[in-house]
Order: sequence, then C-alpha cells, then structure tokens
Amino acid sequence: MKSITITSIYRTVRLRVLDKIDRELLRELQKNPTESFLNVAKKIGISSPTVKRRFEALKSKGVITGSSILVDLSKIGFKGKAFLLVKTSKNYDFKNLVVTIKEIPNIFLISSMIGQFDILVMALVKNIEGVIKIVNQLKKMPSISEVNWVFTTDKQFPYTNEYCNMKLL
Amino acid sequence: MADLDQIDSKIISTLIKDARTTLTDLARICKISSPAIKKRVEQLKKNKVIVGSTLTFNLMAFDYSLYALIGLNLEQSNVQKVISLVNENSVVAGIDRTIGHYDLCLFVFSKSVEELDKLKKLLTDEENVRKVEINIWNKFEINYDNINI
Repeated sequence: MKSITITSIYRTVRLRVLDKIDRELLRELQKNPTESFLNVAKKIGISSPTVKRRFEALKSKGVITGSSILVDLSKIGFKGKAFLLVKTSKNYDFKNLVVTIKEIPNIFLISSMIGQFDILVMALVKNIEGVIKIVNQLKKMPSISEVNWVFTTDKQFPYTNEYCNMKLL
Repeated sequence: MADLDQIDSKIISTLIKDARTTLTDLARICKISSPAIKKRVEQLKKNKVIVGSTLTFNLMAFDYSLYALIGLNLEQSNVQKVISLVNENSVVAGIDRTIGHYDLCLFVFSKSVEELDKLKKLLTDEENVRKVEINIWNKFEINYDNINI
C-alpha cells in the first residue's frame, strides 16, 4: 500500500507570527519564487544565512507550504481538469476511500467536504472521454453513491493562489 | 503538445513538487549534467511548457479559516460580471469556467461563516446566477506523483 498524508486545511497558525522582515521575504519570494537566497538577502538588506533560516522557519511553521512551477497543461498532453463531485454512502471511511481512489491515474487532489457533496476529486484529463472513464471508475466503488462532474479547459497547472497572496502581504 | 522526452518529464514533475530544486539536485535525479539540465529548463520556458512559478502558502496563517468550493449555475453566458463580483468581494484561489454540474467553480478563502454567507447572498442576488452551492473543504490530500506526463 502506498503511504498517504492527509492534511487538515485548518492547521491554525496566527498572522502575528510574521514580523516585518518575514513579510518582506515573502513578498520578494512571491515575486520570484525561484530567486536565490543571496539575491533575496541583498534586496531586503539582511544576510543570506538569515534569509535561509527564516525561510526554513516559515516552512516549519506551516506558513509557506512549498513552491511549484506553473505548467501549460496542453503542452504536457492534457486537455484540462476534471472535478468529480462525489456523494458517499453510509459508513464510509475517508482514509480507505482515498487509498482506493488514488489507484486511478492522473488524480492529484482528494478532499473531504461539508455541503452538497462529500468528496471532491481533481484529475487531469486528455479528453472528455477521460472524464467519463473516471466517473465510471468512481461509481463502481461501494462506498460511493453518486458522482457528478465538471470539466474545465483552463490550462494552468497546478492552482495558483498568487492573487490572494498579493492582497495579504 | 510540445515534444518532451523522459528527462523533460522528470524535470517537470520534480519542479511541480518543488520549484526551488537546485540544478545540482535535478542533475542527480535525472542522471545528466547540470549544464544540460539548465539548457533543458530554459528550453521548457522558451516553449511555454513552464509558464511561471508560485510560492504556495497556508492561508490559515493569514487568519483565513474557511476554504470553500462554490459552484454556480448561471442563466446566460455573461460570466465576466460574476467573475468581477467575486474578485472584488472575496479572496479567490481559483475561478474555473466549467461544463457539467456547475457553470462556474470558485475556490474561495473566507475568514468566517458570516463572510462566506455574505458572499453567498451577493451571488444569489446577482440576476445572472440561478443557483449557488457551497461546499466547505475539510481534510485533503494532494499528490502529483500519479500524473503521467
């Protein structure tokens, strides 16, 4: 069995853990996430080891969760993304279901939800037939009672939350 | 589709997981020299396979306590007005025009249920919007290893 890490989105970290330098550092790295620590250090006027230390601290506090390149999906052979909106049957176990769902190729996100649907599954697809295929695979699972889907041809991957970050800092 | 070989795929999947991976580490992972990696990364950027990079944050660190998928069904195709409304009144991680169960999917951060409810009311009152459904995220798992580039 593959190992899985299920994260709660609601890990609480408070804003006040960030001081002025942290914010400057985040702002610089947001502008250019692949910038070297040395260049960031020069720009904000502190030493490069301090930048590294603060960056690591922000990571361990869970403020920065990582960095990612943005890719044009059409250039790597995908047409778009499918979001599968799943309702589960009684007595289902989220963790077990995650393990089963993950067997389906090109799925990159599984989230439990409260509301109209119980689980959201995101996958990259090559065409609309790909969406139907995943829907059918999910429907076969005993702990799933209903599957709805949406499909988007948005080409950027993964998601960016750049917009909200700029507002925050 | 760009012409990508296995090494390009390896570079892409590594950088999706961590854009700050050093050339040295990439060279080790792909078993080719760092100058060769550098050349390939530059080519991937030039061919617009890699279009940018982003730092990912835990917005909970900024006092946003709720993350929701808001699914909208619209009357007509004037999506732009709804998108502007959402951009002005909330913190959005993503807006996707979709076909299928919803016409528009919004991924929204919110500080409280009150704030989310206010946004829901704004959207419901919009004449273009026929239906608003809110799904609040709880636990999730993200994994890019399953993607076959």
